[in-house]
Amino acid sequence: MDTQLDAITTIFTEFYYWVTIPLMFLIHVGFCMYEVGASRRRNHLHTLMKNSMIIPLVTITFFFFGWWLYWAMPNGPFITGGILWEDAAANAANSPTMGTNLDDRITGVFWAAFLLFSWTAASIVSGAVIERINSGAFWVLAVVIGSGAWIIDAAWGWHPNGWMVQLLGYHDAYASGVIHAIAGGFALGVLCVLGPRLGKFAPDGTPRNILPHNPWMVAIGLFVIYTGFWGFYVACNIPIISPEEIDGVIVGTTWTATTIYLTPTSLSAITFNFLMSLSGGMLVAFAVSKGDAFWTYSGGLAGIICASAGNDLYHPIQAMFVGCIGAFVAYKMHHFVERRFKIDDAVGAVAVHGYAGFAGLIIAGFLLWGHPSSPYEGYAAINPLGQFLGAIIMFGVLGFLPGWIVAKILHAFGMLRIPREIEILGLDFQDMQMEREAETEVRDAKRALV
Amino acid sequence: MSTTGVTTWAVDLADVGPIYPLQGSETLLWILGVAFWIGWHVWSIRWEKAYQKERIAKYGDSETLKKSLDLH
Repeated sequence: MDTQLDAITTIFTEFYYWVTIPLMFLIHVGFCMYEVGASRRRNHLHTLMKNSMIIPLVTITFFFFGWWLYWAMPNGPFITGGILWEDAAANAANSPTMGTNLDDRITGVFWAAFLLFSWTAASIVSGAVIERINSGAFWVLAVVIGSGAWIIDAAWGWHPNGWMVQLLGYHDAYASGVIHAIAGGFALGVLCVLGPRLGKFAPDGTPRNILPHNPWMVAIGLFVIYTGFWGFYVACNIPIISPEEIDGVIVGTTWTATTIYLTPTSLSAITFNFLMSLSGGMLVAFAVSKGDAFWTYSGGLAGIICASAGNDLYHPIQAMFVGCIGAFVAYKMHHFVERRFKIDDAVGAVAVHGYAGFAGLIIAGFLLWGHPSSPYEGYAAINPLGQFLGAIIMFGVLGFLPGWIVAKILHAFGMLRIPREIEILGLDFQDMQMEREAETEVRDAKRALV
Repeated sequence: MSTTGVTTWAVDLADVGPIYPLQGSETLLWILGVAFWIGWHVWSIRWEKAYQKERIAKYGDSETLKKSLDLH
């Protein structure tokens, strides 16, 4: 920070990212509320703790190795080059830049902005598996996706030099695939091994509706997630950068905001498109679900998620229509997969994040066909095939497969699912009994006074 | 002497790097941190198993299980 312009840019950028962190914290608050509200009363405290402990576990592991993976793995490795030891060294847990350092003032803020994405990825999975997974097993899975799978996918497809960007022209500005499709795919992999909640399906296979114990909490939780998503969107951008610093083919002296790929966009564009895709999603979800509150709110989220891959570039009305498709796909696919494959996704996470994210990547391939994926020469342009392959890699290769494999291992050791008796009693049975006894005691004491 | 390496602020800040205490111990701290993390997983899985076993011993008879469905 040896010139005033340097100092102002650094401080603005630090503060810009720093503000996104408390905003994104709201995503986790929203997920907790929504998940606890969707669980039955007999399970709600365990459900809350299962999700809450993502925070410390993913945080420390993201410090220990997750952040290093992002900087080490953009080449695959061995697809477009080897492990980037030099780039990654400054981001390793034992590097002097990963601490109080007057020579590096921003690494911690960048680290935290990425970390909050990690919590989101793990939290998406958490909702799908409520009321029957062992918390200890879930916490292992949370670290696998939060500090492993998602950050490898970010290195591959959400890094200016990621091999998917270079070779496939992969474009996913606000993480339709790199957060949502992967988390949805991972959740589906776990659900295939975990199985449905007791009583979810009738003997003939018809799904039964397991109602949330607190629909208000679910609705407010989803509103809070919407709020947190503002931070998520803003954190995906680089707020201001000069062409000189990009060091690509852009000429002139006009500074700009860019996506993570260093391709120009504006805060105005993403503000338009966030709200229009949310609206498209809510309108269609209301219509297809016939006014169901849970699906209307979830549809808004599916709308944003579906449009996110290209929301740096879409026209707002395009964003709205893409949002409409996202909500439609999420609603229809959720019910089809539930009926056909007996998958019990308790909160529709696979649908809202996985299927809508997958669809969004493919749509972006067509709508943005031929647009440069990078300001650097020699990178593939955005194209439908690259986006389709990218969607398969995100949802299937880095999402479904690791989820399924780790769940299988946990299942083989008898660690994945809670015992049948505990599921029947409810995870909070003892606490609820104690609460009931305490209430009865007070009621009896009052009765004696009348 | 100072654990942070800073003994005075009469310096040019451009020449100052890390100022956390015990610089040079980062790798040891990392090893301790990873051990703590893995240990926590092992503990939590064991604790949860024991917790569930205890609950099943206490409430796992078929009468209580049946009653529990109407309780909460």
